[in-house]
Amino acid sequence: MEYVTPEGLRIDGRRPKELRRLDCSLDVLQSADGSAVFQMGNTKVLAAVFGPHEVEVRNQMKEDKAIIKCEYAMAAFSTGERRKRGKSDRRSQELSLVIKAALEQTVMVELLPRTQIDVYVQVLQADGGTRVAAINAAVLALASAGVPLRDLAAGCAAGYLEGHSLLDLNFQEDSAGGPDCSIALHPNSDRLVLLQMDSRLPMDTFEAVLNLAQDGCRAVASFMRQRLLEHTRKLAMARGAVRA
Amino acid sequence: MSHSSAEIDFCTQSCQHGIRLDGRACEDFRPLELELGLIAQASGSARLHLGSTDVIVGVKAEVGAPLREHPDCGRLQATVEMSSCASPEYEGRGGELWGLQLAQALEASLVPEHPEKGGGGLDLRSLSIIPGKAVWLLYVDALVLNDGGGVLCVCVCVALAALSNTRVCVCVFTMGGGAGEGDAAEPEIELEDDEEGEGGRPLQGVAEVPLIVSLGQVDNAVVVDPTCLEEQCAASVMHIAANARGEVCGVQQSGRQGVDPAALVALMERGAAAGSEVLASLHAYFKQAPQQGT
Amino acid sequence: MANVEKKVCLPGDLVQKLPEEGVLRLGPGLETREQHVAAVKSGVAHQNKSGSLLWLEGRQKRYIPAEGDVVVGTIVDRYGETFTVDINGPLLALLPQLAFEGATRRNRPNLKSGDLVYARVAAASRDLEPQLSCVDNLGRATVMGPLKDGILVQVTSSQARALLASPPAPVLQALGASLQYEVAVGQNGRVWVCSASPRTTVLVANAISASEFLSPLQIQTLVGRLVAQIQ
Repeated sequence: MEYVTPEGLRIDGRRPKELRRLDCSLDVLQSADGSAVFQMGNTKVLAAVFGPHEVEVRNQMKEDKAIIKCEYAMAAFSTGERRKRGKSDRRSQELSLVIKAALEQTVMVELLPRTQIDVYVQVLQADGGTRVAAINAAVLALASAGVPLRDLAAGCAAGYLEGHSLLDLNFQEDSAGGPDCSIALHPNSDRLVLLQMDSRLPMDTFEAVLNLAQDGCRAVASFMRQRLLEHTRKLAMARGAVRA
Repeated sequence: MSHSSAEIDFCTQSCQHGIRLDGRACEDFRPLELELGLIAQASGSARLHLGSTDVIVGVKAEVGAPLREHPDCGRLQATVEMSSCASPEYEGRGGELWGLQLAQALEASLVPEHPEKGGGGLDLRSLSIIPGKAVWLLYVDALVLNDGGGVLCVCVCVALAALSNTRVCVCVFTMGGGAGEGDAAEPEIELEDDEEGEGGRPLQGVAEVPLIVSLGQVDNAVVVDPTCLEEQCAASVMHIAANARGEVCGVQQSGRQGVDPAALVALMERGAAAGSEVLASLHAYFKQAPQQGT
Repeated sequence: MANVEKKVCLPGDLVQKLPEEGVLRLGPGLETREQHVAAVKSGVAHQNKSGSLLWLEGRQKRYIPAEGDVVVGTIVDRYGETFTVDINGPLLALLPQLAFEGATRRNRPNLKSGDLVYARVAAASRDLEPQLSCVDNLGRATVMGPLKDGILVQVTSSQARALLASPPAPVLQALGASLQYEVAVGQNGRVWVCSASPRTTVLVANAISASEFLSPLQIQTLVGRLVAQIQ
C-alpha cells in the first residue's frame, strides 16, 4: 500500500501538507444551550453544550470554579465497519478525558464558580482525526452558548509515513501504523492545550511533525474564526444591532 | 423537561378550544423535514426533523448466518440510542432503557413477525443469499439528537426513509470456492464490484412498512403528533401503526391514565387515516429523491 | 480615547487598549488581559457616549444574573422562609417569602412548586446564589409578584433586551394595535403571556417567538396574517 505516490499525492489526492475540506454549522440543536457541527473531510462531529447550571452531584462542586463534564460517543453508523460501541468503551472514555482537559484550559472556569458545564460530543462520521474535530466542534458549541472562553482553541493532527510528514490523516493513513500526533492550541497565544502522540519518533522528525500540526491548527483556527464572525455578525444584523 | 403548572393548565385548556400552543389544529402534524443519504459510509441513511424532534438513522448491510428458525430469511436488528446531545439526562446509561423500548417497537414495525410468510413489512426472504447459509444482516441504528415529543413516530419514519434509500450490493457466489471438501465445501461469497455505479439494488417490501402515529387524549380533545408538553398534559397517548392501505398493524398505549375502550375504535381509525396519508406523501418523495451517494 | 464603534467580537479578541488614566467600567463579556480589554464571548461591543462604560451584547439562551434585572422565575421549592427559583441561570435563585408586598409572618404568599413569579434581581455576584425580591426598596410591588394563568415563551438574551426596549418593540406594538394582552418580559429569556382567550394568548406567544429576526415590516405582515386568522 503506497501512501504517498512519487508525484507527492496521497490516497485521496491531497498533497502532504494539505488539510481536508473544512465545514461547520452553529446552533444546530434546539434544546442545547449551544451546539455546533464540525467537519474535516469525511469526519463529522456534533457537539452540544448544556449550562452553566447547578452541579448535579454536590460533592463534585468546586467553590472557586466551574466543573466541566465531557462525554464522547460514536454513533453505530459512524465507522466504515459497523460497531455498537456504546459510550463506556475504553477509547471513548479516554477521549472524553482528553477533550475535557483541553476544554478546561480554554473555558474561563474561574468566572463561574460552583456551576457545571456539560459538553457532549457525538461522532456522526469517523474518518480519522475524530479527537481534534471533537475539540473544534466543542469550542464552537461553547462559543455559541456564550460560555466565557480564553481563546478559540483549534485542533489538528499530523503524522509521518514513508518519509513524509502528513497533515490531517484520514482513517486509512491513521491505520497504517505510523506515528500520529494530535494537538490543539490557542491561536492568540500559541499555547498548546492538547498534545498527544503515540509511537516512537526521532526528535527532529517529531519537531517537523509538530510544526506541521501547528500550522494546521492555525489554518483551522482561522477558518473557525471566520465562520464564527460571520455567524455572530449575521445574527447581530438580523436583530438590528449593527448595520451591514 | 418539566413544565410549570401554569403551562400544563393552559395547554390543557387551549386544546379543548381546538388550538395548540404552536398554533396547530388538533389534527395537524408538525412540519416535517427529511434529508436522505447524508452518512457516506452507510448503506442507507436519513435524518428527520419533526418540529424540534431530530433523529438520524444509518443502515448497514453485512453478510452473516441466518437464524435457525428462518433459514431462508435475512435479519434485521434495530437499535435506538438517545444521544446525550439531546439532554443531560441521557448521559452515560441514562437513556438506555428507553432506547431499548424504542428499538423493540421499531423492529416490530419494520419486519413482520413471521418473515417466512412475507407481507407486513420488509421482505426478509429477498435478503437471502445462500439459503440456510448466508443472508444479509441489516443493522438499523437510530440516534436521537433532540427530543421534542413523538420520538417513536419519528424513529419509525426516518428508519423507513433510510431503508428506502438503502442499496445492497449484488452478490456473486461460487460453490466450493472456500474451505472444506466436496459436499461440505463452503461457498465463497464475493460482493460484486459496483463498476457501473448503479449502487446496488433497493430493498423489497419498503412499501409495506407501516408508520406509527401518536394521538394524545387531553381531556376531551384528541391531538395528533403531541409535543413534549402535550404528552405531559394527555391522560393517555395511543401509538397506532398503520400501513399505506390504511390498515392498522399495531397499537400501543402509554400515559398516566387508561384509555376509554369506547373511544378506541375511533382513535384507531383516525390514526390509520393520518398514517396512510403521510405514507403516501413520503413514498412520492422517495420516488423522486436522488439515491444514496449520488 | 478610542471609540469602539459597535465592533463584532469573538472570544480572545482584544477590543481596545486600557486607558492611561480615568475609570473604565466593563460590563459582562469583557475582561482585562495584560494592557487590553479582551472579549470572552462572541457579540457586539458597545460603548457609552463618554467612553467610560464598555459592554458586550451577545445572543445566548442561558442567563447570567445581574443586579437590577427583572426576571420571570419558576418556583422550584421552599426551604424554611425562602423559595428557590429557577431563573434559567447557572444557579438557582433565592426569593425570601417576605419579599412580597404586604407579606408578613402570618400572611405569606401561597406559592408552590411550578408557579411563576415576576421579580427583580436584588443581588447578584459570581460566588453566591442570586437574591430576588418582588418589592422595590420602598416595599411596593409595582408590576412584580406571582403570575397566574398564561404561558411561558423562551427567548434569547438579545431578544429579551429588545422586548424591554423603549420605544416598545415592533412586535408588541403591532400586536397591541388589534389585541388585548399582558406580557411580563424577563431579562432571563422568559416571557409570560396572558390574555382573555386562549386563542389570543397562543397567537401572541407564537408571534413573539417568530419575530426575533424579522424586520418591522415583516412583523407587521406576520401579525396581520395571524390576527386575520382568528377574526
